[in-house]
Order: sequence, then C-alpha cells, then structure tokens
Amino acid sequence: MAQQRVQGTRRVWVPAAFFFAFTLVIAARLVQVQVIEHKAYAERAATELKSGETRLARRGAILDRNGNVLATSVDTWDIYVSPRSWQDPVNALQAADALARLLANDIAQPKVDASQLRAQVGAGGTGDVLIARDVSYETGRLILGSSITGVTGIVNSARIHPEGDTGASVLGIIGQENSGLAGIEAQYNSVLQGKPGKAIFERDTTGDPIPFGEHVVTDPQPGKDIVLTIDRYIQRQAEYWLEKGIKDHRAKGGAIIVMDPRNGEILALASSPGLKYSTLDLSDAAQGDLLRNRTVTDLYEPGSVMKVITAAAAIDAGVVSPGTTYVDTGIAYIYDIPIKNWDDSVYGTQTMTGVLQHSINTGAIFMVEKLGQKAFHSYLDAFGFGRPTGIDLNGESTGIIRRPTDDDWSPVDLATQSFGQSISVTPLQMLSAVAATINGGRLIKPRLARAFVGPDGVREEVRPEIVGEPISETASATIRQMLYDVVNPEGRTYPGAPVNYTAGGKSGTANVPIPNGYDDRQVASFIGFAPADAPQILVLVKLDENNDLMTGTQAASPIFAKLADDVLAYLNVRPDSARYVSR
Amino acid sequence: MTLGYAVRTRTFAFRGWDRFDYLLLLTSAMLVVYGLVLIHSASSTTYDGPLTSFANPVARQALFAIISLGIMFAISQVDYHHLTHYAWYLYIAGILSLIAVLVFGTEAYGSTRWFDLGIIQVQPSEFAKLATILLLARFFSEHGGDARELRALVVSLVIVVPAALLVFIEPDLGTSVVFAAIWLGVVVIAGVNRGHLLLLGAAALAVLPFAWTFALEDYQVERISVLVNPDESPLDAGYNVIQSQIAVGSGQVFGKGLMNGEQTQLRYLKVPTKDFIFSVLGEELGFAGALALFLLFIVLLLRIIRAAQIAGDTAGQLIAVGIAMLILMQAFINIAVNLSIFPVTGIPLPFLSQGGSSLMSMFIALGIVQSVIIRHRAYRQT
Repeated sequence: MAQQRVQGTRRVWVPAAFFFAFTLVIAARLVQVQVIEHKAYAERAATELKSGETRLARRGAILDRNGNVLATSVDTWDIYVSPRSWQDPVNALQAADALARLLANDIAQPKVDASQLRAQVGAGGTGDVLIARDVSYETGRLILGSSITGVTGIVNSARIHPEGDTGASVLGIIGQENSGLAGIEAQYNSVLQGKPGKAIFERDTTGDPIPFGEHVVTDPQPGKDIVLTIDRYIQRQAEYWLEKGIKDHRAKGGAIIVMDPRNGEILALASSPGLKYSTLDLSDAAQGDLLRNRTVTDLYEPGSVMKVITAAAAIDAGVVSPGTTYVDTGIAYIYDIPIKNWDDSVYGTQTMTGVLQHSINTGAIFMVEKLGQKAFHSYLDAFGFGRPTGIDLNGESTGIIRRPTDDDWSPVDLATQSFGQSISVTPLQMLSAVAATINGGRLIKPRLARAFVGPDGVREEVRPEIVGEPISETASATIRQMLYDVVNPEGRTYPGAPVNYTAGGKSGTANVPIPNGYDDRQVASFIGFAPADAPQILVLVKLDENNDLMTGTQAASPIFAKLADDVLAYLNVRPDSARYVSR
Repeated sequence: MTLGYAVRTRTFAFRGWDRFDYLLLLTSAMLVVYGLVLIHSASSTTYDGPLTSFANPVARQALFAIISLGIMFAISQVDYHHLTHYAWYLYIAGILSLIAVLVFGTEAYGSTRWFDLGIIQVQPSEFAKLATILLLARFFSEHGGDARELRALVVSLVIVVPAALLVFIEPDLGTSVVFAAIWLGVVVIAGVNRGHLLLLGAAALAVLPFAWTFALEDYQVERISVLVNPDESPLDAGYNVIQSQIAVGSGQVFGKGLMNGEQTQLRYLKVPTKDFIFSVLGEELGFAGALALFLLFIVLLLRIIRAAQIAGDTAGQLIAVGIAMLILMQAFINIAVNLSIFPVTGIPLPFLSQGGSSLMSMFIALGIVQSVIIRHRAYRQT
C-alpha cells in the first residue's frame, strides 16, 4: 500500500471557511425572512389560507305582516377552480369543457365558454379562482358530483325576492359577503345574518381540494326571520299609484306611505326614485343613489299640511276652537312685511275650520300669534319635528326647525312656519306627527319590524312604543272632525274624498326652497286618513316637482281617495253607510 | 473478562472502538432524529395509520436509518485503502449507472434520476459522488498526482466532468454543483497552484453565457429568474419559491409549533418531507429551530474536518475533505433553495430528508470517514 507523507494541515480549514461563509449567508437570510420581514410573510400565509374557511349561516327571511315571503335565501354553490390542477393543458381542456357544459344548466348564470374559463383560471393567483357565484343548488351538485379536475364548490346562499320589485326600497340588498347594504337587510343585518361557522377543505396529495371533502369545524348558527309591518298587497298598490301619479302629473319623483295611525305600523312605503331588483346594477355609480330610502333621508318643506299641526297645537292649548272667527283681509303684516294667501284671495270672516278648508295662510298666522313662539315650538318638539322618528331604517334625517336662537331668525319665520315654510321635515316625520293629531294624541314611533322568528320557531313581537302625548284626546277628536270637514265641504265635492269611506285630510302645495327664496318647482302632497271617526289608515301622498303644477288637492288627494277605498276594502273594513246613502 | 478485552481478542469483531468518533456518530444520529420529528409532522395530514406500519414514512425512515447505521459500522471496518484501490472500478460502475439511469430510470418531477426497485428508489448519483471522491483522493495521493501541476489538475477535471455532465443532463443542476464543489475542495487541499485555479475560474466564467443559452433548459432559466421575481408565475415555477418563503417567514423566531404550521399541514408546501423539509422546520420551529439545526451541522462538519486533519495519509485527508464538501454543499444548497436564494433543484437535506438512498449514502460516507479516523496518523505512528 503506497503511503505518502501527509502535507501541512492548514489548508484543511478551507472547507471550514466555506462553511462559515455559507452559514453566515443563510443565517443572514433567515434573520431577514423570519425576524425582519416576518410580518409580511405571516400576513401572506393568513390570506392564502383564508379562502373557504368561513361557512356562512343561513340568512333569515324577510316576511310581510301576513307571513308572505318578501326576501329569502336559497342554498347555492360558489364554484372554484384550483389553477394548479389546470396547469396541464390536456386536463384543463377537458375540465373546462365539462365545467362550461354543466354551468349552462343554470339559466341564471351568465353564459361562459370553455376558453373563457381557461383564461379566467390562467389569470388567477395562487389561490383557487372563483368561476361562478351563486350557482343553483342542483347545478352545483351536478358539477361537484362529476368530479372534474380541480373543481370545488363552497356552499353559499343567494337572496331571492318572490314578490319581485315590490318593497325593494324597504327591503334593500345584501352584498356578496352576505351582509346587508341597504334597507331592512342593513338595519337588521345582525339579526338576519346569524353566526358564520368555520370549515376547512381536505386536500389530496397534490394539494387539490377534494370535492365534498369539507370538514366543518364549527356549525353556523342560522339568522332569525323578520316579519315586517308591510303588507305586500298594500305595498304593491302604493307603488302602483305612486308610479301612475308620477306619470300622470309628470313629476320627478314622490312617495306614498301607508301607516296604521293606531300603532305606528307602516303598511306600505313606496319611494321613487327607488331601488328595483329587476334593473339593479351596482357597477353603475348612479344607481348607488337608489340605495337610500328617500322617505326617511330626504327633507322637504311640507307647506299647508303643517296647518294641521298649527291647528292641533292652538286647539290643544285652548287659544282657539273650531268655531273661533277672525277676519281675513287677504294679507297679514309681520313687522311691515306682507304675507299673502296662497291664491291671493280674500276670505273675509272665517272660522278655524274654514282656515283649514280654504288653507288660509293668514288664518294660520292668526293661530300661531295667539299661541306665541315658545308654545308653538314646544308643540313642534312634542310632535317630533327636528329629530329622527326612530323608525328602523338607517340613514334617517333629523329635519330642520328654525328657532329664535338661530342667527338670522326673524318673527316672519314663526309666521311662515305656521303654514309649513321655514321648516324642513322628512315625509315620515310629517306622517307620524299627523298620526298623533288624529289617533287620540299619542306620538308613536313608526316601525317596519313586527316580529322576529328564531330558527327554533320562537316568535318575539315588537311592541308599539309611545314617544309622547303632544295633545289631548279631545283636541285630537276635534282635529279629526275639522279634517273631515276639509274633505267633506258643504256644497261641493272634494277630489280627495273616497267613494265608500268617510275620510279626513289636508293638502299642501309648497315651493321648493332655494337659497334666499323659492323657485317655481313645487311639492304637491296630501295626508289623509279613513275611516274618519276611527282611522285605520293614514296615508301620505307626495309628488315632487310635478310639471303640470297642479296643487296637492288636485294632484295628490285623488290618489289618496283611490288608495283608501282599495286598501280599506282589502282590510275588510266595513264601508261607511252614510256614504252609501248619499250616493 | 471485560467487554474491551473480548472485542480486542476477537479479530472478526468490531475493531477500533477506542478511536471511533462517537461525537460524529451522535451528531449524525441527532440529525436523523430531528428529521424523523419533522417528517412525522409533515406527513401527519397524508398518513394517519399506525405508527409502526411500514406505510408510515416515519417508520420507514427509521428502518432505513438503522440499516444505514449498520452499513456505516461495517464500512468503518474496511480500510479505506481497499476502497481507493478499487476506486477506478467503483468510478466506472458509477458512470455506467448514471448512463443506465438515463436510459432505464424513472422520471419524476421532470427529471430522470432514480431506479425504481420496488420498495426503494435508488439515485445512482448518490453513489457516483462517493466514487468520484474516492477516485480523486486516490489520484492525488499517487505519484504523478501532484495538484501543483496543470497536467494533474486537468486529469482530475477529466475525472469529475463526465459524472457532473451526466447528472446535469438528467437534469440535476444541484448535484452538478456539488460535484464542482467536491472537486474544488479536493484540489485546494491537494495543493493546487493559485494561478491555475484563477485561470480555470476565468475559463468557467467565459463559458457561463453559452451555458445559460445552450446548456440550461428553459425551465432551469425560469427557476433562476423566479428567484428574482417569484410572483411572475406564482403557480408554476414560482410556486415552491413563494410557498417555502411564506412558510419560513411566517414561522418567525420561535415557530408555530410542531403539527401547527398551516403551510405544512394544509399542504401548501410540496414534498414537505423531502426537499422542503427545511421549510417545515422554519415554519413550525422558527429561527430557533434553524439555529439548532445549524449547530448540529457545524459539529458534524467540524468533526469531519478534524478527521482530515488527523488523517494518516493524503488519500484519507482528501477523502475526508471531499466528504465534508459533499455534506456541506448538499446542506447549503437545500437550505438555500428553501430560503429562495438558490434555484429549486431537488437536493435533499442530508440526514433529515425522507429517502432511503440519500440517507444510506450519507452514512456510507460517514463510515468511510470513520475508517479514516480509526486509521489516523497518531495510531499509525504507534
């Protein structure tokens, strides 16, 4: 065996030097990745794992007051494709063909062809690519059952609306993550939504999720159903008459609200422009504007309808009675500023009932001057003006009352407030204040939710909530009579009188305020109730900027009359015999 | 009668207990155990049968480890001069097996590196590396093998290049680099002239652009370019780069705990028990776990370098250095791949990665080192 003298051993340390250099490089890199930049990687790990983790709970349904379904969720599948399984072109071709063919079974899905699918998957990132959202349950089972390479599904739910667009502006919409974006869906999101559960996927050795291989970690808790105060028939009628009124009078928009004045339940709430599921397109920015419900968010000056409140306050305070007379000269001077009647006429000696019948501005000023500013404003507060009504719809406005503490307050403001100017209200505020004048004097919080029904079937009723009692019961009876007299004047037929029922009401025609004055755009409105002696419905009809410039009496009150006849018959209210006799 | 006496008196029994490097043995065993723990964690989602079944990757690996330890003891008994004596035959057998694998081998993950022998897959390049080390050691320890001469240097290159080229066309870029590193380590110890080395280095640099264009496959170029920007193809070439980096990075200083790494347990990591076992370690045991691993490797390599220092002759010294370079480069390349500072190349982490062929070749290498240690200089001089 050939033996050789061993050389100096210093060079033996060369590999060691390599080794230390390598270790330094690796340690430096580790410090960089694990210590310095760890946050970014931890976040990436979290987002990568997130997909498919939550298992959404069944969202509660929204029912009308009689239990008819207005919005409900159905199980659907969100179909995903794992891009890694589609790396192989042959597999991808086959799988895309099969998937496109099966997706076509669901007619609600937009048409896709196989090459579109491949492009979509190819453009995706590391995670599974969402191919189709809310595929019908049957189609989804078909797709997942035929085990196409790389295709998985997550159970989702879609919102369907059996009544179509009826009540859409009340119901609102939900977003893709199953949470409410507008209307009742947003207001009661936490009630409807339930608690989502957690699920993870089992994956095979190549990392592809196994179809149906879903492992539920925590079960989702379903949400509660909501029974609304809305009646689907009345809602549909209200929407019909509103659209017709807007068309007939060439108006820009409007609102019809039907309320039960005895308990504040909203039977119908129609608003135009408003949300419509059939034409909803959220990618259109202009449509985002439709998501707000204008009956609670938008303000207007009510005009002569306000005289109902002025009269109620004056009569409750005892400063006038329906028979109190005063002399109308056609003009009233407040600190030398002349204020005229709406039609420039002179009515001479008039009772307070006559003031409402003829809608005499000077008569309203007469009442408010007898009452005084302080008392009048405390009545406005008691009737709920200047603060939200508390209805269960989000985005409610407070309204504006000009007060002596405001910078540019003048006594003229008090005078004009008596007939509905210098005060801004929401349609709902006006309606709930008028409800208090005719229902025996109680201001009741208006509401849309009647009851909640849990997944276990337990029903909790929502009780009416009395906010205050602005006027006495006798004053309320007096106002009912006076408003009856408005709709039933002697010697002529009022356009707002229903055929089969007695009714009361007051119209208003107000100009739209612009800075430092008013322009000739107007809001024609009418608030009426029926039957007159025991009101079961209170209706606000409001037309915005009607181009034919007809007054509230001419344009809005006939709509009330038709709606009242229809709705009361539907509610099985006995027609008033007096009306039958007179016909 | 003491045990030592019994051993010394029976010539066929294990000899050299007193000179055997137990620290080297202990360190390598600890690395294997470390690997078993990580394989257990990484395979828990794919395997849930009984612990002792041979379908269990942990049990299989443990069995391979025991067999490999036995082979190591056996080889340490063989005088390494017998091995260098037959180095040419071993080398030619290695080259032939590399050619055979190209023809008959099994393709996996896009390259042909393995013979499928049923229960075990054998990677001939593992043994070709050892054969090459033995042949280089023999060549430089013989007369005419003076590394200071350019002629000898060129001959040594002629030994290494065929093997390196054969693995390169498998393709297995990483192993080619390991061959190069082994050669470099051996010639440096053998006393190469610095000028010659610079000359060869310059020539290699000059060839590099052509290699980039002609020799490297498209996928190899892609694997290199994804290091710079892995997000350019997050599913394809960049996938492993991104996922391993996320795994290691999200592990932070102390890791998420064994069996708790989401990247590992939800199988975002590919081959987590094999090439990407370091990512599992990084995610579940964090920076601290990586430092523990480095400590073990440092001890292991220093023991092998010590073997080179005390080796009885040039051949022993060069063998130890070659093996040190072999383990060092494999570990470095594997970890560097996991940390996205080296292109993905399919080199297992020595002693830790699941795989019988790799584990066995590592312990054969350690057996040869033990053989060198047992026959060290001081012992010869007595």
